[in-house]
Amino acid sequence: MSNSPYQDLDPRAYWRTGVSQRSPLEPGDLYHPKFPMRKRKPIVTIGSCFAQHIGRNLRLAGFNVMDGEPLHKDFPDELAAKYGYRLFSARYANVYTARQFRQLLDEADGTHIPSDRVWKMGERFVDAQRPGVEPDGLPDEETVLAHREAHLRVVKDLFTNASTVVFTFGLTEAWQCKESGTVFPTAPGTIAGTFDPERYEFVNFNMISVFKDFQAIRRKIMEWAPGVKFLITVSPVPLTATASGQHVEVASSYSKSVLRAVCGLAYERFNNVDYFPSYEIITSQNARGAYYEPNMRSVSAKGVETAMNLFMTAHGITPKGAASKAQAAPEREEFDDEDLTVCEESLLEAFAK
Amino acid sequence: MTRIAIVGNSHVAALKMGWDLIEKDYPHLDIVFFASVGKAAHDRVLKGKVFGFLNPEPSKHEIIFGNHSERSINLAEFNHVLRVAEPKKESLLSVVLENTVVDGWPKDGREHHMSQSTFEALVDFAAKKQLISPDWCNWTSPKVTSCPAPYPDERCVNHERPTRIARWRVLAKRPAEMLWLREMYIDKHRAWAEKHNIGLLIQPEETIAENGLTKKSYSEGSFRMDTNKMETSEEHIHMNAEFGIVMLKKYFKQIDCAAAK
Repeated sequence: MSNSPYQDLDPRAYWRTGVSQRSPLEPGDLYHPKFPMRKRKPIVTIGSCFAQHIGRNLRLAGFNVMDGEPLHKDFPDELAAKYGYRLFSARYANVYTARQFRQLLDEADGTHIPSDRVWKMGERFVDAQRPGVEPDGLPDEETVLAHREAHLRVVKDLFTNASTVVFTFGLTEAWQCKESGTVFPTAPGTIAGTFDPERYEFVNFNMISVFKDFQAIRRKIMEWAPGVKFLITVSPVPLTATASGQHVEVASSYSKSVLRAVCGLAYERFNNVDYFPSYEIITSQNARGAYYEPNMRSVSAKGVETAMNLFMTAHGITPKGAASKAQAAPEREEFDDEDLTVCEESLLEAFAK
Repeated sequence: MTRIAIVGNSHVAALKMGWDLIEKDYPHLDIVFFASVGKAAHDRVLKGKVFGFLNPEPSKHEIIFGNHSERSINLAEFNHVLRVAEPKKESLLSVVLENTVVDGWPKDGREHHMSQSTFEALVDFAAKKQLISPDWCNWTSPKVTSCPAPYPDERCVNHERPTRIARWRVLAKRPAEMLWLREMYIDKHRAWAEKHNIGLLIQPEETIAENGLTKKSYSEGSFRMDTNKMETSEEHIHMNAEFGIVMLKKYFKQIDCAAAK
């Protein structure tokens, strides 16, 4: 008779030793990298709000996080963030869904042109795919399209030169144009545009479609950059609001479960895809909610620091912790991490009763 | 008698030289100059309305020009104070315009695009940054006026050095664009200054060359306080007595102290 396969496993394999007996806020041995991250290799970041934290911390730790649309360091982070600079590797703003990411790559490749490219905002005009990066809008549609063309060239160039793409899956819910299937980062009418129920519809992507989108993303980037690797994460930030008809907590659980399952499948299936469990670190029972702000939605600075320290340690880099914060202080002493994170979703909260 | 204190750095020299030439036309003005240069200039502090080296023992770097060699000056005894020459933050924008085209301007080989409103926000940031220390703001008496540093000599575009004016060389490549930026910058600087009850002494148009920098005639023969020497043609930062006269006359007009008949 052989022993149970659950005998003599590593302590990290058991809930009691892996979680219950772990000191509170001790992140544990949650992450063993599939491949090393080299500081000098170009990294491209993209994704939801939480990806902003990852990008910023990687940059602070000395990783070569690319910035295809830079703003000179003489201008402060708060000002840069207001206009979409320094949040990700380009000014694509939050890319919440895999479908939006796929659409962006196809557009940059010239194989797809989204519909409804320009939205009106009062008397001004914005890029429907990133309405927040020009908070004052642009004077006309032609200018919006000229900015978009320049942006797309940067996007293609960035991904072509990427060694690692860091993508944070954020949401499964989105709004799309019924006729064309074009998805948008925000619901029409939230920042700009007008909501027309005849023209736009709610969509909640399931696991199969999200995985297919990720496959297409991976395939496209590998065409441009054959040796590229992917580091994927799931944002631990719950939905601000759901249009699914479910309770927002139930909808969040569904959304994150779908995204987590996609990450699990991609991790299993593709050698060049690694999964970093920032979602598990932040939401862990062991953390007892300490990694969230009082609104129980935004991730606290401590949570980000813990997740990123675990990441650095796993990659053999000594986390700088308080020291790195002190070094960063002069540029941003007036602003905490939360203030620096630009999230259109927060606008939904502003409209909430 | 109207009493004016002119305090600042090495750029005070041009004003002092200019004043020496026109003083006789202004018998109703009593002007005290108080300047310092180099590291020492940063050691001066403002306490209440007393400005200068307030530490009991002078440091070895301490250099005083004017002010009857006194280490500090009580500004409360004056009707007006002119602070010379706040570094111009306008040149900060060169790092943007070097590789970014703002909507409406020719691309001219630049790879990035920027909207007018984004650029305007950056200009506003730079203008706010130029605002002098809060300790100097919102005085009712004496009236404080800020005089930004002059634009470098127009000839600096032909030289690689000094590196501290490299940013101006970038801007001077596209004079029309620089003048557009300047108009926006001055408007915003003025707005910030007015909000804090500070007057602004802007370099007059007549001193500006076609490339947007200072005409060479206002720089030739300038005088450096720290070396006590007349400048050679390689110096592009400091201005001469003629420049000082133009600036002073504009200032006197601004504070309603025109020359005596």
